Formats: sequence, structure tokens, C-alpha cells
Amino acid sequence: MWKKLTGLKDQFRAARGQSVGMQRRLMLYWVSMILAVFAALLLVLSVAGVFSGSDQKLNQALITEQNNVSIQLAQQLGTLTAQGVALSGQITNILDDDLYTGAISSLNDQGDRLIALERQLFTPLNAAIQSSPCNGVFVILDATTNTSAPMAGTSRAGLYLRFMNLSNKSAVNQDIVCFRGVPEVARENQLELHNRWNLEFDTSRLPGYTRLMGQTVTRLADSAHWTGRVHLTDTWEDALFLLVPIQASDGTVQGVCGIELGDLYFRLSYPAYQSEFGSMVTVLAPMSEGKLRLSQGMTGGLERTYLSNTDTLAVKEGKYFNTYGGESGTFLGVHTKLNLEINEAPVYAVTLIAQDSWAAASAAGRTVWMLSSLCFLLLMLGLSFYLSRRFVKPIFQSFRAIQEENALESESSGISELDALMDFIRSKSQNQAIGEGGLPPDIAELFNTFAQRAESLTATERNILRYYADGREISEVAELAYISIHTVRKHNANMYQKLGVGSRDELMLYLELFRRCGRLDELF
Amino acid sequence: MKRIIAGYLQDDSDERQFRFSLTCVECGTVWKSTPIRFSKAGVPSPTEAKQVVFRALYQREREWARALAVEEAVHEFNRCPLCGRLVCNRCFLICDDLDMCRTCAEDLHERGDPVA
Repeated sequence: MWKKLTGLKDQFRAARGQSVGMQRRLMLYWVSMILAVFAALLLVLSVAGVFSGSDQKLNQALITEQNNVSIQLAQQLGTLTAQGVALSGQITNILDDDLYTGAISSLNDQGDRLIALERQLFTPLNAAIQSSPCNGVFVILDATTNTSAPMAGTSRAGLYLRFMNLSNKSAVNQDIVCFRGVPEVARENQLELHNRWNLEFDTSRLPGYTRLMGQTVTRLADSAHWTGRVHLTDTWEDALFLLVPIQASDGTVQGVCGIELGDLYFRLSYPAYQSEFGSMVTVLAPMSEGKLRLSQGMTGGLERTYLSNTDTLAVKEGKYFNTYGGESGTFLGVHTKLNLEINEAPVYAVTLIAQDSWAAASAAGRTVWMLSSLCFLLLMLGLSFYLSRRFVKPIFQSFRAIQEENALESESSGISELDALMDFIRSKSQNQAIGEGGLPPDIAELFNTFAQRAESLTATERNILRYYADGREISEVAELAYISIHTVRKHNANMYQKLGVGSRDELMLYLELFRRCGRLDELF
Repeated sequence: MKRIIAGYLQDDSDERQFRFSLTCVECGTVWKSTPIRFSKAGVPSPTEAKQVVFRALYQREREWARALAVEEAVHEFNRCPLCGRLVCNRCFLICDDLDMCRTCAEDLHERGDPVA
């Protein structure tokens, strides 16, 4: 393994020692420069937030959450409406029993009869609260136990069962308490009384009750409606109520039954969804005149998002998401219209996210892009600087070597074109040195002797010598000189003797040396 | 030179072999090329058509033999640069300034050594 590594190291060194073309070096430099420009462009665009794509991501996250929430809300509200209508039918049947004959008002001041009636009503109410996705059910009868009481005009008998101690940790086996109704019914069914228990309902606090009591009902589902947010008397809780009229067999409205959707229950049912941009809050509220009225709707879990439930948010629609502005701040979100109305205004399921948290999250993403682009830019600039230094350094070294006349001793520059230039300069200077008598003394003497001997050649022999200098063969010389090959050989023998060479190869070597030294003309 | 020699070559071929000769105009010596046997020499031609084929073959081999004869002759003959005649190596003198035939050398009083 070590040997392999050593071998690789040697190969790497050898590769580094090889000359690289100037074009390839320039290309590398320009590629790095172009990449540096690209990185600078990337940096500018990332500062502008083009690459973070947070708008699209937020849009996707909001739509995903909104789809889930709106489907869940539509199912829950539809189920509650159906349960309310069914409960109304069950109560109508009870009222039509032998227990009750005549108008419901005949039960006024009939405490015993009301107790008996509420005993009958407990069973359907208990079943409804156990099976419905709500936190309370009630029935209000248009009668009171004491018509002479001060508030008898708006006080009405009835039964109101609610869950207490709501918790998202134990949705099953919640305790049911009696919020309104006769205590005998609670005691018989082992229910506790609510700490704000009261015997009868104060109908003046229930919007829509009076209107429902006065109208003629043709179809229960059409008459059922949701109230806006209502504060529960003497408690800290608010709730939405589904009101369904109780229709007697003669068509008159004998009371109202309904379902409570408390704000605590709603918050537990729709907790805030933690996304990468912050908490997403679910809102169920009516919208009118381009304003989302939270005071009439419900708000889900907030989770570090400040959103007042009494606020009114002005809606401004956008490409990827809508903007909702109000006293609580600015929020981003999307909304879906539900098949529901509160106070004749359409109700929307809305998913909101605080603009501040989104801005912080997108700024973090932008920072990552900016830092990445900056690092890339610095890297490319560093690479360009390094390449330019490596490109220029051998050129300067070569110039210095030429100036100091060290070109002969200088090593490879690493640039093939420069090495070729240096080789040319070396050979030139060597030829120049030869021409200037730079040859060793014995070689120069040899040359001079040969040149002197060449002077003794006859014109024909010199002519044949020129043919040889031009690279001709014996047969070609014979052909060109119109003489026989024997004659040429005869001349050769004479020339060898005069020049002091032993063979034609030796003669050709002398000619080559004279040519390289630029002294060939001395022979002719 | 080869073209000149080829023009002076005398064809001495017969049905069995190819041979060419060249005469030195100086001394009259006749140089003869190495004889080359015809590939179909002695082979009877059974038909007229075969005779046509043999004749064509004979012509081809003779030209080839002529080229070989020229290659041989270039070793033996020189062209005098003064009189332009073809002379053999014995009649061609290597002089100081210019090689020439024996007759021209005598006329110009030049001295030289014969090639052969």
C-alpha cells in the first residue's frame, strides 16, 4: 500500500514536472474568472432573494396545511349540523310523548313536569355529547319554572351538558358536567354541577334565539344556523353555537337545541402547525367587506403567535399567498370558503402565519445562499489569483534568465511554448557561439584542416562533393554528371585521399558538421 | 544518362535469350550485357493463339532485359562533355578541370588518368 502511494506520489510529481500548454493554462484561468463572475452574479441575486424561493415554499406549505384543515373543518361542522338536526328530532319525539300535551308554555311554573321532561331529555343529550366532535350540547324549552321571577321574560328552562377539564392529552373519557338544568337530573346521572351552574338559560345572551322562536320552520336543516362567537355567562370561555329549532307536531317552535363549539375545544382540536417558516394558525371566521372578523369566529392554537381573537384582519390577495393585516400585526396565509354562514357572512377556514416569523425564516435561507455565493466567489477569485501567478511566474523567470544570459542553464518553465522558445534561444546561442569560434580548439582545428584540404579538390571533385552535400547518392551523381558510376567511384577515391577521410560515411559526417556550423560554403 | 545509353544500345537478342551491346566510339570495344534467358525458350507453341501470347511475353521480357542492360551500362560508359560521345571507362580520362574522352584530351593537350 505504501509502495502504491509512493508510486502515485512520484507519478504526480512527474505530471507536475511536465510542461502544460499556454492555451490550457489560459483556458483554466478564464474558466476560473468566468466562474468568479458567475459567483458575483449569484451573490447579487441571492442578496435580492431570488434563489431562496421562500414565496413558493411558503405557498406550498400553506396550501398543504390549508387543505388538511379545511377538509377537517368542513367534516366537523357538517357532522355537528347533522347531529344537531338529529337531536332536534329526538327531542321533538319526547315532547310529543304522553308527558307533554298542549303548548310548551303550559309547562310554565310546572317544576315537577319540567324535571320529568329534563330526565327524558338527558339521554339524547348525553348520547349526542358523547358521539359528536363538540364540547357541549343543550336544549332550551320555551318555558320557565317561575314566571314571577325578575328575569322570567328571558329565563328559560332546559338542560346543558358540557365537557370539563378539556385536555388534548386525554380526549377520551372527559368528564361531563351539568351547566344548566335541574340538579336532580345531574344527581341521578352522577354528574357534577358546573361551578357556574344555573338552573335556567338566559336567552338574552344567545343571539338568534328570539328569531328562531318566532319563525315558522319548514325544514330543520335550513333553519339551523351557527351563531357568532358568544361569551358564556360568568365564565372565561367563548363559544360558537349551533342552534336548531325544536319543532312540535303542529309546526310551532317549542324551543331550541344546539351544540357548543368552545374556543378551548377548538384550540385543542386545531393546534398550531410548526412549519419551517413558523407556526401556522387555523382560523374559522366570517369574512365580509374584505375583512376577516375574528371576533365572530374561532382561533386555533397559537403557539408563540400573537393574534387577538377580537381583531379584524383586512385581506389583501397575492400571487402566492394573501396578506392579512390588523392590530395584531401582519399575517400571511390562504383561506377557503366553507358552506356555512355566520350573521349572513360567509365563513372561511384560514391558515395564517406571522409575517415576522416568515421573514426571519426566509432571511435565514437567504443568508445561507449569500454565504455560499460569497464563499464560492472568494474561492474562484483565489483560484484566479493563484492561476495567474502560476501563469506569469515562469514567464518572468524565463525573462530574467534571458536577461542574465542563463538561458542555457535554466530548467523547464512548465509552459511548453515557453520551453520551445527557450530551446530555440539556446540552440541559436549555441550556433552563434560556434559561428564565433566557440568550438573546442581541437574541433576547430579539425574543421580548418578539412577546409584546407578541400581546396585541393579538382573542379569535378568539388562538383561531386556539392552533389553529396545536397544529399545525392552515387547513382544520382552519375546520372546528373553524365558519367559512369565507375568514374564517380574513381573520383570518390581521389576525394577521400585528398580530404583524409576513410569512407563516404565519414565524408558525409564532415559535411553535416559544416552545415550545422554554417561553414558549408567554405568547402566550395 | 540512362536515356542516352538506352538510345545507343544495340539489340543482340535471339529466340532463346536477350542480350544488348554498346560500342565505344573511341576504341571500338563492344560491351555486351549479361544474357537473360527467355522464359519460354525451347517451349513449343502448340497453337497459333499461344504463339501470339509468347510473342507478347517475349516483347515484355525484352524491355525488362533492356532496362537491366542500361543499369549495367551506366557503370561502364561516360558521355564526353565536349564531344558528346559515349565512351567506355578506358577511353574516359579524369583530368584536373574537366573529365573528357581520350580524343578530346589529345586535341586540347589535357592530361588525365583513365577511369579503368
